[in-house]
Amino acid sequence: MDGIGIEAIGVALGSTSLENIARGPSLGREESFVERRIGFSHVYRELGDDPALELATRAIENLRMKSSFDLTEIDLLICVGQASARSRIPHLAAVLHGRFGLSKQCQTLDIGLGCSGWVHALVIAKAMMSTCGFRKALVVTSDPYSVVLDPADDTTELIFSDGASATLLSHAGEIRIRASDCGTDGSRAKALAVDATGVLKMDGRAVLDFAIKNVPGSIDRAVHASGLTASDVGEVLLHQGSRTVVEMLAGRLTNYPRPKFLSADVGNTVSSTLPLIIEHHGLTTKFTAVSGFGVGLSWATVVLERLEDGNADR
Amino acid sequence: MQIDSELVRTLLEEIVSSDVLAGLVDDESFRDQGVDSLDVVTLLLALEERFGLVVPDADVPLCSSVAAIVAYAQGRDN
Repeated sequence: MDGIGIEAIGVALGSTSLENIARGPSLGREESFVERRIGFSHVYRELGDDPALELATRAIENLRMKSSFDLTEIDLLICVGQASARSRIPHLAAVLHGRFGLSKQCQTLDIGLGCSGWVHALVIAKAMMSTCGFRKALVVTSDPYSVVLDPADDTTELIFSDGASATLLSHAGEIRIRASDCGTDGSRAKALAVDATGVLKMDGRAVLDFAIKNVPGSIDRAVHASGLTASDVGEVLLHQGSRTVVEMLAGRLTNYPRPKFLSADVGNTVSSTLPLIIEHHGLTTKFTAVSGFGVGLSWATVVLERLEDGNADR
Repeated sequence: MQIDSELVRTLLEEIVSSDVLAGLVDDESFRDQGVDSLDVVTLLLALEERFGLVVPDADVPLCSSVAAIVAYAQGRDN
C-alpha cells in the first residue's frame, strides 16, 4: 500500500440559505416534484465579488480548526473548480497559496472539473505525493455555480448549491486511498456546459443516462482493482446530483449496500458534494466506494479504506 | 419485438401511477399528462435495455408521447 490517506476535511457552505421546495412553483415545478424528484430542501448561495475564493478560504480555515497541521509542510495544493475560471488568472490555488503563506516549494495547480473533480484530485494528489515525495497535500474544491446559473432555469437553479471543501492528505492519514477508475465521454460534453452567454445549461436526461450507463461499471472496476469484491464494500457514496439520480443508481447497484441520498438539506455542491458528505457523516465501514460524475461528461470512482486505530503508518 | 402503444403502456405501468396511466392519451405530450422528464428517462432506458431501442440525446425530443415513441421506433425499423 502506498500509505497516503485523508487526515481531515474542512467544509464551507454559501452564506445564504434558500428554501428550495417553496421556490419550485415560481420556477414552474410543483413542490412535490422538487421534494420527490430533485430532493433538495435547501440550496446555498455565496454572494460577493469572488465567491470561489471566499468559500475556499473558509473551508481551509475550517480545516485548520479541526487539524493542527503546519502550513509549511504543504507541498501540493490542488484546487478544483470551473465556475469562475474565466476571470481566474492567476489560478485559484496560487491566490490561496499567497493568502495562507504556503512554502515556495509548494506546487499549485487548478483542475477544471465538476462533480467528479474531488475524486480525480485525490487520485492525482496521491500519485504526485508518491512520485515527488511530498509530505502533505491540500485538495480544495470550490465551485460556486450560482455565478453561472440562470435564476429562471428550473433545471439548474433548484439543484446547484454553493459550497467548498479542503481535504488534507498525508502519509499518516487514516482514510487510505485505494484503487480508482476514471473516465470521460466527451461526445456528451454539451449536456452540461456553459453556453455562449455565460449561462450553465444542463440536459438532465442525458446526464442521468450517462450516469446510469457508466457509474456502476466504474465502481466495479475500482473495487476489483483494489483487490476487493462487492461483498467487501460496506458503503457506496455517490455524488448527490439529485434524489432521482441517487435512487436510480441505487436500483442498479444491487450487489452493493444500497447508496443513500444524503444531501437533502445541502443541495448539489458540485465537486464539494462528496467531501461534504464524508465530513458530515464520516465513513462508517472499512471499505467505502466513492463515485463522482458530471461535467465532461466524466466519472471518477475511488475506494477508501478506513484504517483501524494504530495502523496509520503501515 | 415490435414497439407498439400497448408495449409502451406496459412499461409505463412500472414508472407512473395508475391514475396517470389510466388517463394517458397516446398522442398528447407526456408533460401535459403528468409524466415528467425523469419518468421519460426511465421509460427510454427500459426501451433500450429490454428492446434494444437506443435513442440518441438529439432524438429524445422526438419521443414526447406514446404515439411519438411508437412512430420513432417504426421509423428506426424502416
